[in-house]
Amino acid sequence: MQKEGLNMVEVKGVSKVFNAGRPNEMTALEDVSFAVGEGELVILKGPSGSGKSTLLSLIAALQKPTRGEVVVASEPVSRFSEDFAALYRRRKIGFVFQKFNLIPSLSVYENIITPLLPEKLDEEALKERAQRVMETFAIAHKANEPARNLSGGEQQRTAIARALVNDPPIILADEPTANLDADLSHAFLSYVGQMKEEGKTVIIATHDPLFFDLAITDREIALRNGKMEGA
Amino acid sequence: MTLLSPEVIAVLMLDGILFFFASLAFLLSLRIVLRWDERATTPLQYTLQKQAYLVATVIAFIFYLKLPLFLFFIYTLDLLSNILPGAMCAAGVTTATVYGMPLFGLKIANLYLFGLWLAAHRIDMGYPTMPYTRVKFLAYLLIFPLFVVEEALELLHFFGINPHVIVSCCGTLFSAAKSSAVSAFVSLPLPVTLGTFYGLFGLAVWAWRKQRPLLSALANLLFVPVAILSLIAFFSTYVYEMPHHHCPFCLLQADYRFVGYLMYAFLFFGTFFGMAAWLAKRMGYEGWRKWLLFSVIGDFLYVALVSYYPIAFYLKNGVWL
Amino acid sequence: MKNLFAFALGSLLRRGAKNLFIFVIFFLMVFVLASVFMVTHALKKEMFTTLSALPQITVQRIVAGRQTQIGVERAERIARILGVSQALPRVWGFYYFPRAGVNYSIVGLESFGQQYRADLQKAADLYVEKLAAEDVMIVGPGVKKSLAEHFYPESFLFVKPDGSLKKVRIAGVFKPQTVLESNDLILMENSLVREIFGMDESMATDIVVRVPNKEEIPTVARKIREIYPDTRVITREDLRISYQNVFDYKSGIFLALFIVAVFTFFIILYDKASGLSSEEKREIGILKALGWKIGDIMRVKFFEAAVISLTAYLLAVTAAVAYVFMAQAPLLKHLFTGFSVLKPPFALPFTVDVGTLALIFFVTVPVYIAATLIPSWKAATLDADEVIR
Repeated sequence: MQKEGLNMVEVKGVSKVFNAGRPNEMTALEDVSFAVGEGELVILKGPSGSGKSTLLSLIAALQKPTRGEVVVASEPVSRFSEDFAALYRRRKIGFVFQKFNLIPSLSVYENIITPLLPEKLDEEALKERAQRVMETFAIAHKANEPARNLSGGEQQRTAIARALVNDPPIILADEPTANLDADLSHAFLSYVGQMKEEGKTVIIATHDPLFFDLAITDREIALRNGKMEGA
Repeated sequence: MTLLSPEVIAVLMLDGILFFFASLAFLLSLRIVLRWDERATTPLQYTLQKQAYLVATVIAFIFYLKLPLFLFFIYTLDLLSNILPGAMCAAGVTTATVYGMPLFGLKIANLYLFGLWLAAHRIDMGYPTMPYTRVKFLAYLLIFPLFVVEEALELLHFFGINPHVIVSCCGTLFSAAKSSAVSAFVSLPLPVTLGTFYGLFGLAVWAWRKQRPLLSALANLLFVPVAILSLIAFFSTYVYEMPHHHCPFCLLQADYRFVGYLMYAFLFFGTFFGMAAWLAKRMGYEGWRKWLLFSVIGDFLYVALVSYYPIAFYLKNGVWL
Repeated sequence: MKNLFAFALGSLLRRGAKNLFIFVIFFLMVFVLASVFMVTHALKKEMFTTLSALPQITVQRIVAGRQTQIGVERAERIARILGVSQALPRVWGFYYFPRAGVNYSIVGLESFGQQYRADLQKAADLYVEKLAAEDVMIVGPGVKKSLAEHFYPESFLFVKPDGSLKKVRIAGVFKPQTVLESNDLILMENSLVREIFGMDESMATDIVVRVPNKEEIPTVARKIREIYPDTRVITREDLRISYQNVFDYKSGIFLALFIVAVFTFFIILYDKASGLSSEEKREIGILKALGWKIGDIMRVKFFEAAVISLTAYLLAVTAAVAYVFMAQAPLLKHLFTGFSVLKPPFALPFTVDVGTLALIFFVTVPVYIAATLIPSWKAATLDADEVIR
């Protein structure tokens, strides 16, 4: 089902070993390879501990692979220095974390603009960009509310708005529905559809069956004990 | 210790802090130089990458503290001139021990070196893989001993000052009659002095027009001592409006509205970027053209400021000193 | 950069309690340091004003290691030394008044003669007729006050060395240029002073010498020593340097002690800053995952430290100016001047110079920022991947 043209994300023979050479050595990923085309939706599935989160953090260049390489938009992000990795995340990646990871003492607006703060933007530009995503995800009315006072659904929408505020081409989501009830999980699904329509490349790591065999999904990759199933 | 002035204690304490950080940076740099492997994904490499940030931060801290501290150091010497018999300004205190003059030279050189290191670091951080990491930290390993020597000279100087020995004042130190390198320059014919001074400035401007950073670096490197010596030999006398008062320190006193601080700031700014532009070009950084421009601006401001005094004097009085 | 600065400010406020603690302690330290330095600086200035009124050279005669009276004829010999424009014998001394428990300084004036100090000359010119005609004195404001308190509003009875009494009327109150030295001053005619102290006509307390060319002072001093080997020759420059040294020594010792305190504080602080709460750790992880560089986080930490230390510094220095110059440094002033009864009523002259402010700055702000360097690096290099599991 892979589209023609540019591969957005390429994972090439990636292995990740923690505590290499020590008694507690642990292989999180072993020789994983796949490619995700631009605008595709890919579901990474597998039980917890199968290496999904590690794979996401490698794609986000939060960690470096022990072997292999991650290439995003033709750039070897796994070889980037810390600074360039950060820059790459800021410009290319929107992150939706498990449990949302909002900063509780900051307001909705302040949470949403955090990815933009290191950029040289004036207050007007910040407001304009935040307003756009807040309206898209119907959270603008709570702009000045501290995140700790939000309901689950509001937290979810704030987290998604924050992931999209820098208009990244790639969205990574880590167990996005793990703490949500059925209604909110379905709501998230509809947001994913929205993102795909906008041409974003979306990779979701989940073990929630809700995401299995969806019509909009381009591909499912199953991980078990750090290896790709069927590989 | 005979000179227990609060200013001296403050300078020594800050030196202690700087020394602690510089040594920390040295040890970490040593490890980075020996063990750095940008391809490796070992925990050691991660640790080294993180420590590289610490080293850079520490060096930035040292540089940005050294800049104002240098001015405070001169101010302290100026204060000490009140208790040293014979001294009228920092010049006398500097020559109170044999370490004073080398200390001064080394302090200035180290400011340039730390500054250039930071410039190189900034450029290196602009590349995804930081290709100059090893070279950079190797360079720091070479700068560190100079820093240690500076600190040692400073201790020797402060503890070596004997308040009962009469020192010279700037009037005799920089007079043509004395036989030192400085005096030799002071006694050079004026056309030679000024020719070298304005000639080097012209060369720096030409290097900018032709976009030749190596030439600019060389011109600016020479411009530092020539500018200071010609300031002593010629320009300072017009600031003081006294033909025999040659001194690079009295300029910093309130009597002359602290104009010296402005002069030295311009000179440092201009010559620093003149050298940094060459380094930037060598490291493939596009910003070097901008830095070259900064250099010419700084040099020009310096030349304009020091030239103002004799010209204004001539226009007012119709004669030269 | 502006945005990061705003974020740092917000972050300081969000963790108000922890930062307030640091702020208060830092404020107090700067305040104490600034107050001490401002008081010493003001006292030093007061002292130097006094000093500049002193004669360039003072000649005393020493017998058996003690100062004693000097023959007035020596003044004439000294006046003939090349470079000396004037040599005047002075008659002065201390008079102890047991009931008030104080010492007055009695200084003699030569009626119709030249004085060695401009202010004394002025006083002499003003009261010359009276001083010459009758037994009167001009007193400093402190003397006037203490005499009045002991029921001598108009005149005073001096006890001469032989036990007989000498009545002297108060003719006026002396308005000096600096109060520190002149508060306890009594001015009289030379012969009256000699009578009260029981001194011979041909003797004086010491001889003061004026040398117009500053450069010649050391030479003149040396010549006097050669002519009169039994004298001690003190130049104003010697006094100035020894005063300066005493002050530097005092405040130097203080600073040395202070630095010990500063370091103790910063070690505690370092410890506090190093131990990040799990909430802070998570926040840094989130920021890094969202694309903040290590440098961005360190910048925020630096801004936080800079804002705390600079505002505390500015406020503490302002508070110290108010405490020292407006409130006249209660408690602290006596620490430096002692509890002498007649000395108190003098004001600390307002002097705040850039150098003192820079000194206070350098021993506090960079030290604080240095103490936060390593903790903020540790915080900024925390692993971010922990937030995505």
